[in-house]
Amino acid sequence: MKTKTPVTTPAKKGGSSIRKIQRKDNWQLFSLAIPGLIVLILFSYLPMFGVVLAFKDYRAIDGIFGSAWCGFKNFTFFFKGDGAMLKRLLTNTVGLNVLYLVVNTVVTIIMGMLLFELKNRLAIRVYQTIVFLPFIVSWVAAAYAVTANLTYQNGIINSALAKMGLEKINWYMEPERWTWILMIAYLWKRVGHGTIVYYGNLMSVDTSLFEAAKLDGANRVQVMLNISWPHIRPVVISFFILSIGGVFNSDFGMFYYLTNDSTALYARTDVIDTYVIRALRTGGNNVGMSTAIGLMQSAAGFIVLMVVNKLAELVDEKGTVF
Amino acid sequence: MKKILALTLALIMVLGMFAGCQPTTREKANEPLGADLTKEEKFAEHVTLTWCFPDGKQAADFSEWDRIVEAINEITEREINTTINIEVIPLGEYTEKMSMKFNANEKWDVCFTGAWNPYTTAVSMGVYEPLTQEYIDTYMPNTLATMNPLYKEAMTINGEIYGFPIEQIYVRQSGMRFETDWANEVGFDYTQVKELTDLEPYFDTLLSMGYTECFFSAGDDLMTNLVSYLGFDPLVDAMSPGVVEYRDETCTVINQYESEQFMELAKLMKKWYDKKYFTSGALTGEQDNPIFEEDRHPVDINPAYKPGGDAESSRSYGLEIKTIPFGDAVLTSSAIQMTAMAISVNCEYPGRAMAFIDLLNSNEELLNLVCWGEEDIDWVWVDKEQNLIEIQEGAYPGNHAFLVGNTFLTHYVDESQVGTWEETIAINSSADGSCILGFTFDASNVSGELANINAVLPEHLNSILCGMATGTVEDAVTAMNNALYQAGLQTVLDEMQRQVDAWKASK
Repeated sequence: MKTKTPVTTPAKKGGSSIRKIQRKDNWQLFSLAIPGLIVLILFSYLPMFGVVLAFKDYRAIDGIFGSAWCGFKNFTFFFKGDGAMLKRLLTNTVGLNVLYLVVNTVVTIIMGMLLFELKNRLAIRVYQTIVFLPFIVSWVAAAYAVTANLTYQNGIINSALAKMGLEKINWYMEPERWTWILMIAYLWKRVGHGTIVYYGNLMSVDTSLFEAAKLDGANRVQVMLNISWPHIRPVVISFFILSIGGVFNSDFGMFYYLTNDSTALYARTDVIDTYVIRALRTGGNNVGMSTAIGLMQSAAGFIVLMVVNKLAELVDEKGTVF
Repeated sequence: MKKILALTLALIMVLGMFAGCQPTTREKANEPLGADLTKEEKFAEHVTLTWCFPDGKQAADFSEWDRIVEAINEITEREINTTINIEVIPLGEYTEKMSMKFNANEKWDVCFTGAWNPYTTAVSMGVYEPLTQEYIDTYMPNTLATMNPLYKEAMTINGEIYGFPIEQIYVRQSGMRFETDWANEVGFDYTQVKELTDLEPYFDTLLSMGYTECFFSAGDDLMTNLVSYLGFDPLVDAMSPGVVEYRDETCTVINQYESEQFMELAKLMKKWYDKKYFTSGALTGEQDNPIFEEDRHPVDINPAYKPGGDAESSRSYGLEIKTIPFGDAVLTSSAIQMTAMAISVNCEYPGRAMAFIDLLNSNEELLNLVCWGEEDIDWVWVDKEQNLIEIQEGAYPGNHAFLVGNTFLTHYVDESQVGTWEETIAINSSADGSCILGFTFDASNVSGELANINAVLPEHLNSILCGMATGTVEDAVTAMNNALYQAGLQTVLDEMQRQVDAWKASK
């Protein structure tokens, strides 16, 4: 790579040829990003025009433009309901999301650093694969595994408990336990992805720093705290800020499939997304209302993101997103 | 320059997207009208129609499905000069798939509507073509001849008819299904069951014999499955609060969850849970998990009893099943709307589409071809006099007639069914009509409240009807009703009563 950097190329006519070559290099890099950009534009930017539906009484037959405007009618339904229910939804959604996000971040950093400590190539590959694999398993498939473990009659855990002479636990009836069951599931699925990102980031640290630290007699923990951590801190902060924007959106698959949609667990597992599905899955004229909820979630998430971003400036300016 | 290029590109993409959002109501073709036109005059032009079809028996996975489609088209081309483009959708996905089609304004012509793909919802979305009398007279003479005018009334919404019911059992009566293996082993005479409590001795015996299975499937489905036993005619659906007691001449809208019938049912389920007639799996969804156990219960409640249905269900479950009618038999709008056919508002040839529906309702050859396959290949006659056929080994799996057309024209496939069509027709004509037969509730004014109610209800209702609510039954029911009123139930009930009163006054 080093021979290709434009700075080392002799400049013929001032800076213009450098820029030309830079542009050429950028173009190569840019072309790598094209598939991702297309996906982003198609699935994240173009559909944004759909938010007009939140303010319309949508009827497919009239089309998006033809449907009548209805002001904020679509937004009100969510707040018309029971106040206690609303409080529960917000507590579950925001509370669980923040809890899982924080725990996930901490665990991921530790895992990334531990992986970096390994020197055996084969071992690194094996661990990477093992922790990353759950990321591509769907929640529906995961739900079967969870059911196999937890079901009351023949579940693996309950069978084991019974064999040991302990009392069986009716998992799907006890909401309190699900804060933690879902946390384990969340970590199981997400940790691998973050771990690999942080590990990759640590690979780019100048090795001479580590060698110098070793010569100065720093132990492993000291190296982690004083070299590794400052290096990945901006990335950690960026990741955290980006994730916090989705704090009002829950991972629907996890909350819906993993819990078997068991009504007995709603006290702790009912989040905005599952509530909305329940409210709007029957009846046909709900495109407007569901768009309105989505818009509200995004708007609220955006505000949180901006606030956290501002706060992050105080910690480490390099990690901020804006 | 590049900036302009980029901007133009972005603009094209955005405009391209919006192009799909324009309403695409197609021009209607100029179809000849008049009841006395000849077949040649009516069907002079060749037309292709798309028929969206709920496939309940994996017919489309059949290796020779193309042969069936070809045979279907042979008949439609001969009879009404029309090619039918069949779009097969698995029954379990039908509601969602059709809803997607509606919201995306996709092209289709004829579809099934009812229990899957609810009729009133689709009508309120404005996706069905209103069927004018002139068109009906011209293109549906055969259906019109056999159809009871009362049934047409049940399909009328705001003075227009948007669909035609498929002739089958219209009466809503619960059925209690028994697996005969269990009943015979215990020596229980299931024909004498009149009330839910009559089942208790049977369950007690099973318990004492050491069975620990789930004897009875409890839960919120009971509201749907027992709706006529409880005596309700629901305005939205059996689970949504807001019903009229069908014998109530004053047509008063009530919240069924405040009724005595419901309280009694809730207490009974609590008692049954305590006696261990069913397990907690009823509440947590574990009991229906196909991984662990076969979904078998000694007793099951079926929402719609129909004569001759046992042969069908025994065949599909591979068990011997006997069903007894249970509770009252009532004729309600919602029961009639359960199985119907509708035409797209975008259909260019609504007349031809009606002619196709008419053909499915009157042409024995076509109907039985869709339902059972081809004669001498998929089935053979056993007794032509009795209308009895025998399905061949490895033949076309067929389709449920009640999703296709006039069920009374299909062949019997089991000797025990012979005569059930006449029996069904007799039940249809002798049943009590609900006091609000012909009324259809328009939910658009209270859709927000109904959405909240839908979201609040299951948590309470399911635990109550599984007998597992915490505290006393009374407290749990009160808590549920409080939550429902918090979600806006009073507004919904008032709107329902207003519409019912207006409908009554207009009669």
